[in-house]
Amino acid sequence: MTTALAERINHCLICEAKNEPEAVLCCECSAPMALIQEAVQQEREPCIISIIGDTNVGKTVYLGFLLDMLSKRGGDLEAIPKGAYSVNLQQSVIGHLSHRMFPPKTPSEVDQWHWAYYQVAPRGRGVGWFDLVMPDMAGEALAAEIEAPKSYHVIHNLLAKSEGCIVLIDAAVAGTGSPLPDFFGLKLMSYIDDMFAVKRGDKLDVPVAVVLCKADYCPDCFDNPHIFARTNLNRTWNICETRFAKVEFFAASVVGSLAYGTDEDGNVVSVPLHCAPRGILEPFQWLLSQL
Amino acid sequence: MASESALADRRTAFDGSAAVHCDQAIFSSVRTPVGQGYQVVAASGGLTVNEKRDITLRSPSHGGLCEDGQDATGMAFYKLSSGRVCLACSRDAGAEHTGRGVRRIYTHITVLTVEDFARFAFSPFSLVLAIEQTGALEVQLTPPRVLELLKVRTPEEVENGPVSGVLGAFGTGWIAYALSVVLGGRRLVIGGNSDPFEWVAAVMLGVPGPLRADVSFSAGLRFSVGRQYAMTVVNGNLNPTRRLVRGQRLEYLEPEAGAAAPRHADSPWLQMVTRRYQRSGGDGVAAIASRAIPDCSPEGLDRIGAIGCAMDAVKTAEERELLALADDVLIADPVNDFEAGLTRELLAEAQSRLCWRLRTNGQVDSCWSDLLSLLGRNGPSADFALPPVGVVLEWLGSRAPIRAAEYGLEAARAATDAVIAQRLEPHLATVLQNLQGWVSVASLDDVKRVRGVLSEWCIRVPRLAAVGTVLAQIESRLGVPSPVTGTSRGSDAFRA
Repeated sequence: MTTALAERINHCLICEAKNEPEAVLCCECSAPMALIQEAVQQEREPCIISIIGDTNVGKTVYLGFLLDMLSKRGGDLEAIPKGAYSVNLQQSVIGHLSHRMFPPKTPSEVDQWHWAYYQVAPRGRGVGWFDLVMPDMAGEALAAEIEAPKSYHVIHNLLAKSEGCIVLIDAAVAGTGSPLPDFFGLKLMSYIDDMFAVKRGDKLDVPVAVVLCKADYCPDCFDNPHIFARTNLNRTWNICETRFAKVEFFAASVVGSLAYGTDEDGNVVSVPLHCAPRGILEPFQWLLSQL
Repeated sequence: MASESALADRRTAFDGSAAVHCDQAIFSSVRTPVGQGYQVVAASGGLTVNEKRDITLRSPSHGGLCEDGQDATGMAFYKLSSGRVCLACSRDAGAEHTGRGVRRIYTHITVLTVEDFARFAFSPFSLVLAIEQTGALEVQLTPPRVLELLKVRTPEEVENGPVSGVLGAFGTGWIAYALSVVLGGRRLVIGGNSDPFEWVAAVMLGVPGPLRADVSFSAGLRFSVGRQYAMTVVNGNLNPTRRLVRGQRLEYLEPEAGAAAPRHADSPWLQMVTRRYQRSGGDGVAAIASRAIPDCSPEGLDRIGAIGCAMDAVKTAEERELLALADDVLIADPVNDFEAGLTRELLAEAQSRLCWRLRTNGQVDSCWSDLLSLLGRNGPSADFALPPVGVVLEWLGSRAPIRAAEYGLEAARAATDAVIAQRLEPHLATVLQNLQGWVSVASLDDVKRVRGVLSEWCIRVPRLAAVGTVLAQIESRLGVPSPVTGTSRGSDAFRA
């Protein structure tokens, strides 16, 4: 594998297209070439975990906090970022939240996404290191890819290579009775199901952690994520039960309390007054245990 | 895609002038009943799912404009997978509704067939102007889900786009280099602080009209590796672009005013564009490049470029150069009607200039033999040569009647074709008319010389009755029997 990896130094980790040695981004899918360079340096294939969800669900904040907690040895996990680019996302998220702002939206353009390459290992258990690649995708891009598969090659290839997925669903919106999060979840799970198509009757082996975000809005979600999902996200729950062998539901929230204001155009602006992360690490730990 | 008959129906009269009915879409970040974020918010009924997907992939999201602020704009032009072309105009539309501190980008997209695009003289800027006049570019954040077809009036005058700023600041070298990259099929990214729209206009104008639909570009939008435009022009902060273009299969250019442009492979087409930019600006380039050129292969463009260069050279050429230019064109057979038309234009211009120069400079001797050679070659060559021959004879007739008579005889000898000979006769008649006045005042030696020349005229141009008249005058002046009017041999004998 080492030799094979070394030979692939100029091939994109995600789509395997050959690139020029000095390329920063893949010429085909715009994924950073630093990923394969890190992989070659580590002499092992990285394990890709995709964090996916609708726009404005909180992917950036969740991923930023997750990385930050990992780098602070949260949950008995040790994590080392590989390359300064891996730290940018968590720095942006923590920096913005400490200034009582949400981080900027992730643009649809793939070359503007943040990618994180981390080495993670459970502390003191003698278990080997995982090389984890986690991109912060734009929800719009994901939605467009789901509507028309293979539009965004990078998303398609990334999910095809993922060894596990964290699917984020807006529990706060679902809890109000809106069907939108449920439909998006259904589409996402259906997309993943199609991608890893297995024989009818067999279940997909890819572990999927369904994270019910912004659960601080609906405390019952923390009490029992299963019941919450079955009640408020019934379509998603059903497809998970039918098609996925390794699936688990988690509740998570980052912001402790919010204030609201309006901007100069009259848009409602939410201001995170303080952070109270809850349930961030659990889905990740569960996923690692399933790999 | 819409059928041909349906497309024909769409070209209806619109307030007295022709209009094209285009599909349109709006791409922006709004909250809709089915989701939120950047998406095709509204579209007319003719847009297919695949076209909407293409538009989604190519449209900018927040931060996608090169400049910040409420006046920031961008433009993109590309072909959809359906084969239709798409013109997207982006602008800042205030703070995004999510309240996450980003500016909303609003993009209006117009979709039309390549045939309809040709009706705007293949000019994206003409199309933009026409779209702007419809009011469709105004921001509509809550449009109806289904938009009507956009009626875009075809222009009476073509807008080639603003080029003077770039042309003045950078000269033609950088434009020619950029054009060589684009025509060579390589992707190009231009970065700088000059107006990106001017750069796009200047380079696109040099692209042959029918090829423009295939030359995708963006101006004022940030460079994105995934969009794969043939040409991207960015301004503002260039550092992100410099980083992103590294190792990409494209050419990155930061033109510097006053500095020499990189060398590039030259071609007649590029020479033509460069010369026309230098002499007559964008309009001069558009005069050829914006036409419906049927053969846009490199060889075809080389041929058209050569004709275009010749057309430009005509404007400053001297007599012999003009004849050489005409000769080159007359020898070659035009490949198609378009090139034949250009050739006709070139010949008409060369002929007109040649006549003007002969009339004003009188440098007739240097080019006379070349004119005779064209006169005797074939119909098209004789068509070209006849007017200047007429000018020469007229010019000499009033100044050097003996030479005029001699030249006239040579012309009559050269014009072996009966039709050409007949068309030459009015010019010869002018020579004779001048001789009539001259005979009475000329020296006897000169008169004798002319008598010898005119004797041969009787054989060459027997139908010209004026020959006999002039000879009779000469006879009277010399006091000898005329070969025409004398008792022993009349003009009929010569005719025989």
